[in-house]
Amino acid sequence: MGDRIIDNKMFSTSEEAIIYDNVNRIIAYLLDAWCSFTGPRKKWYGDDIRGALPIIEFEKLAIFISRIWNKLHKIKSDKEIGISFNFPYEEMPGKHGYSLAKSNWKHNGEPGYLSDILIEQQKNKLSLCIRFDIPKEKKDFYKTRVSAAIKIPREDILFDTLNEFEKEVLRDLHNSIKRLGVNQIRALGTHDSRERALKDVRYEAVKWKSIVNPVLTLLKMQYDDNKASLLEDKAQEMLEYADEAWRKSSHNCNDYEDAMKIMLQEITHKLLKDAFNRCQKTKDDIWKHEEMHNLAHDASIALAISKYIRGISYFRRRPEDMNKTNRRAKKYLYQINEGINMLKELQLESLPPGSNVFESGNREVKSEILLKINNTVHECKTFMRMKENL
Amino acid sequence: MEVKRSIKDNLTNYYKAATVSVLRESYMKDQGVPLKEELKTFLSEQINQFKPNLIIVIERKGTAILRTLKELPEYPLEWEWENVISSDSINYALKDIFIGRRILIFDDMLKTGLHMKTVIETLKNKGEDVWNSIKDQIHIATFVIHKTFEESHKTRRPDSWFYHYIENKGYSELRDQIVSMLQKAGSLMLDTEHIEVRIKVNCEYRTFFEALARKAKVIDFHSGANRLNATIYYPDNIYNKFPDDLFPDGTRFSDIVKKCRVVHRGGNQFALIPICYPSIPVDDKIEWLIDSKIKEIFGYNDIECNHNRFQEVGLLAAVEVLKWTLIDIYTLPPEYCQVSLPVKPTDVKEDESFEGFTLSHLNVIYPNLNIAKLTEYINIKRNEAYKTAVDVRSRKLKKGKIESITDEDLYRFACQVIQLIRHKLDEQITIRFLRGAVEKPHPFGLTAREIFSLGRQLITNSSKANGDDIKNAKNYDHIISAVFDILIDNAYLVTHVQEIEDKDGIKRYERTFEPDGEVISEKIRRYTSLFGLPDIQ
Repeated sequence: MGDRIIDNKMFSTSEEAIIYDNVNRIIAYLLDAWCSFTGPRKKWYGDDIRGALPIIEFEKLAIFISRIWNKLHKIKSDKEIGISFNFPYEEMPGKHGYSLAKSNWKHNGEPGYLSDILIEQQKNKLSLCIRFDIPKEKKDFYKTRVSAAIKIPREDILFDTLNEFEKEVLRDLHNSIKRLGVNQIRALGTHDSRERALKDVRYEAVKWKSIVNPVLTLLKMQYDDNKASLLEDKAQEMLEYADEAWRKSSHNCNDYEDAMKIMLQEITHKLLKDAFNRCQKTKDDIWKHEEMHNLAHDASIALAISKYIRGISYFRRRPEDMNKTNRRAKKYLYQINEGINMLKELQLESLPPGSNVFESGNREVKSEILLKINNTVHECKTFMRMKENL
Repeated sequence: MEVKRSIKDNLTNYYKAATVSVLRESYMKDQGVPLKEELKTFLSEQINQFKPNLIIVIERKGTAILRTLKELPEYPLEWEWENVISSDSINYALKDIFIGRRILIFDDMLKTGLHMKTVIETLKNKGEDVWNSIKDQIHIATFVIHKTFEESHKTRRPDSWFYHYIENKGYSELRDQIVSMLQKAGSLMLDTEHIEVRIKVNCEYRTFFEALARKAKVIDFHSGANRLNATIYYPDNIYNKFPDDLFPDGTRFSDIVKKCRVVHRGGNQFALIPICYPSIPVDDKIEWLIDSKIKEIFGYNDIECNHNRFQEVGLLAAVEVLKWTLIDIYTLPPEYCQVSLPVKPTDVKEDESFEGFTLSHLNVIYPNLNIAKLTEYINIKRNEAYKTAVDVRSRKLKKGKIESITDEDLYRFACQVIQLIRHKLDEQITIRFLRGAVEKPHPFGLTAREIFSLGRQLITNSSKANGDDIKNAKNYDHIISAVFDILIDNAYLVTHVQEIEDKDGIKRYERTFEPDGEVISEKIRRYTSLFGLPDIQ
């Protein structure tokens, strides 16, 4: 752990090399705190995950650490008695909101996200700090789990080039981060200010809007296997965008509030607390806002109708599953019902259950249902007004 | 077929001209020859050996270098502006300009080859008749070739060069030297796409600037070469209005670049460079130029040529800005300043005592421009300005205030602005990739409106950090406007014209700004990664 391995692609001076290596070590140290913690914390969809973080939450943890560290660097920048370096990444939009990245990383100008860079280093045996357990199937990449690569040895070996101030800050972060649940980490990493949250939701809304028409067109078309398969993919994508918009516009706010409480309770370092408060606005600052309320309302409708469409797109392709009780069939029936119930709660036009959606004897969606779906989609008035060039 | 060669192979196997150039490199370096001499020797030799009829300069530094060499006080490069065209203007020039010509394409630095490739493609697109008549008569001369290009073999290799196989560090150093040379000559600030009027200031400079600040906001600063410059920024207000009937319907004058650069030319002489680029609708069916005199200026009688409407509107708007500036100058007592307007090319005298100058350099960007007619038009506007000034001179005029901001603060602010520009562009590029793009967009810059917005956020934030509460950051737009000049003078920022959809869904041509190339962009990104982005929230 004491040996430093240099990835020459990353930097042009040895000083920069040490910064990148230190950043890897800091993330590994705090990740290990979280992974090895045995005390109580909020469960993740009923699961008490320990030992490794899902990759999306790992990226959120890294962005959160970077944000706090860089803010401290601004507040007290000093080689001996302050923060001596900045996290050398920028916050860039990614598939799941903002992530740490290096711009212009790939030959075509695409950015390299922190996880991509670390995975590349792992493949080239250039990183010993963080371990990625990647599923074999490419489509399952999101199931990747991330952990500290080895048991963290004594801090003085790990942080031989950090000063005492930096070590104190890290110890305090070590003690507080480990108490956060997976969703709380995600909420803290995703949100920090109203401007960013609004931008995030608008961004998801634009993506959702851009896929609505292709989905509705595929839904109207006469059935064929290829188009039905494409519809399923597109409906899934539509659901993911709606889900992200919904989380960011409303659902995350409780996890965010809980995470803020935990952090403020656990952080004892005065300047670290100051940096934390400056970085992370309060729940009300972020979500109590008219535009956010409007977006949250639309996001709920978008999520409801997207769930409904995702469900019926499954059964359109596999009508024989409609009356089955296997896990997948149950899942999509549940999704249809969830969509129907959400729309009821929102006091919108009701939609029928899955069995009544298709014309009898074939797989075409009934025209009155298509009309209802179309009307519901257009209830997302703010979303539908969104422009591509935000 | 291109094959990878060692430097030694290159020295011995390429054509004679190229070999001579490379051999000279080591000789001249040993002798400590200044870069501008190297550039002049290189370009003169290309001209002497290849004997071109036309030089195509690759924007933007290529043109500025040519200007510097043409304006050398001793032994300037002898080449007429009439025989130069900018790479950005090939599309708009008549075919006759190219047919059968021997064409020298001059690029200062080559790394990816993208610009060169675009120039060749644009020439091909002029039509088969043009391309067939020139394809064997094109000579590409590049001053510095990066190692990346040498190893990529993506596009046609230059026929001659001065430095080649240069790695990042050396490439960056040579670029810095070129920029420093251009700063000393003021060529990046003077530019070749703008009108120029010269003025001798016989009073205190402060008095001169205070007069200019009557209806504008003035900010003075020193350029990289310690040259005194000022930005005369004209805010959006009732005084600074443009005549409605001169521009296409839907032209937008707010949130655009609207200023006059004042560039020290040595002694007590300054150049006034009015700049204005209104945003105009892309729809070219919208009629404009009802006035036949103005039609003549842009050569609208010739039905065959394409017109760069955005640049033409910009030139006319700049003449209006010049008029505002001249009004304020003419309110000063006549002995304080002496304005020299450009002369018609036909009025140039071969006499050594002749101090006049022409606007012939504008043909580089506006190949169809009638310089004589434009000069006449500027004279008319000058007379209008003079008349207005005489009318108001009798009144007691208020002096304007000059912003007191140190060079250090201004440069620090400029550094933060360029960081934010690069970051914002990278963010937008990332979004494009996430939406399925496979290549980086080009050209791809931010509009003046977007940059002003970033600058205002920076100002608001830093004032909050200092315990002040700025109510309207727009009042500081002149500082942001000066930052554009500083970044351009340091060759950190280049300009483009892009088609951009506004909030009403109307496609418009807009001036956009982007960090100059990958070398600069990487420098900025590296700086950001080491020191962080400035706070703007």
